[in-house]
Amino acid sequence: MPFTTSFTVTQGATCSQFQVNDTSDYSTEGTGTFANRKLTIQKSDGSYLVHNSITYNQYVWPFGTNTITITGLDQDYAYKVTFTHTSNAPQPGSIYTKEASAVLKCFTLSGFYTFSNKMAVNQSLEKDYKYVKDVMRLFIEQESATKAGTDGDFAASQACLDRAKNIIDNLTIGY
Amino acid sequence: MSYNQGQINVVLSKADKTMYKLGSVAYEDMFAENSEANDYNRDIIYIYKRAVEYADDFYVGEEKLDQIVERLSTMVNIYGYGQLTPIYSTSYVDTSVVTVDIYVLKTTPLILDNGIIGPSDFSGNSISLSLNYAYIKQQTRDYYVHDQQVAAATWTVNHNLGKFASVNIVDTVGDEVLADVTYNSINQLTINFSAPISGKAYIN
Repeated sequence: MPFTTSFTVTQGATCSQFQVNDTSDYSTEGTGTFANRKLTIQKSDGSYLVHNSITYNQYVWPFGTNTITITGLDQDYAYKVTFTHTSNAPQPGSIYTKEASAVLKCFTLSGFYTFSNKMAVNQSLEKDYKYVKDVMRLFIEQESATKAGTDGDFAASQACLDRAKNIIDNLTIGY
Repeated sequence: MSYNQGQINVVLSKADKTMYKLGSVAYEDMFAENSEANDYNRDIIYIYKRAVEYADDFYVGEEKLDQIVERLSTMVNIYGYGQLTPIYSTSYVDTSVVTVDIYVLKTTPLILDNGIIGPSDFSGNSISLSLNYAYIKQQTRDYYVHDQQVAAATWTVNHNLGKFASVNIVDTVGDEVLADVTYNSINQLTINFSAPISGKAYIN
């Protein structure tokens, strides 16, 4: 049975961190048959994510643990994640490389949630047209970021997230 | 009030219905005085709805979420459009329905057909009926066909007609054949031939 490289990127309610999970099925080709597996996490500007002195550019991910947790994020990012297996005995029909976008939106959605709550508590803000519009823009930006990431335009995706951060910063100061 | 996930889902369903109803109201009467207000309120409902949808993955039971759900609930209840009814929903069992005995109110006399004997009064709790065998037998075609497919010199026929019936015999090509008939009883007879033969015997 052919091997298929698979991974997920997950982020819970803690916005400063995310996890990369290797979800490949090693019952079809055991870990011992691979020379290595490599993980690349690239930012929209072309640079690579650096965390705990590890640069995630063809980072050799040792077998043994299937989850890598990245911490210390200060804002949302749009990443291009590439995961590759190097097989010593490649099987026909196998897929050893997978590339996917990872658009992290926790800060944006959390901000959207917080400012929605402020409006719910202080209903005079519902009459503040600019405030309502900015909160709405937060949601639109995160949706656009996801779409751009899916389309592979990481620069546009990151721009959406940056605009969202700008809105959050200004709303925080203004209200 | 603290909202659980089920209650939140009800509010979200109401919000969905309110949003599309407000949209259609605003569209159909776009020059009305309150059309723009309806549109604006729809935006706010949308914001609250999305915020709840994001937060109910993590924060059910927390005050911050409850405050948004409360406000969303208040806004959708102003319009009172109700909630969406999913086309595909989980089965719902209503245990409040009490089973009752079924009865039939008979208001016209019972008319029995010829083959049935019994009273025509059907006002009681039960009725006793029986079959009119004499009539049924009269209506039944009173004959029997014996099909002898294996050639034999003696045919034993159990016709069960309850009488000494007349017999007509034919061979396999339909020609009439003469034979000796012995009536063993009113339900059985024997046909004797000079040589083995196959064919049919019509008993009337």
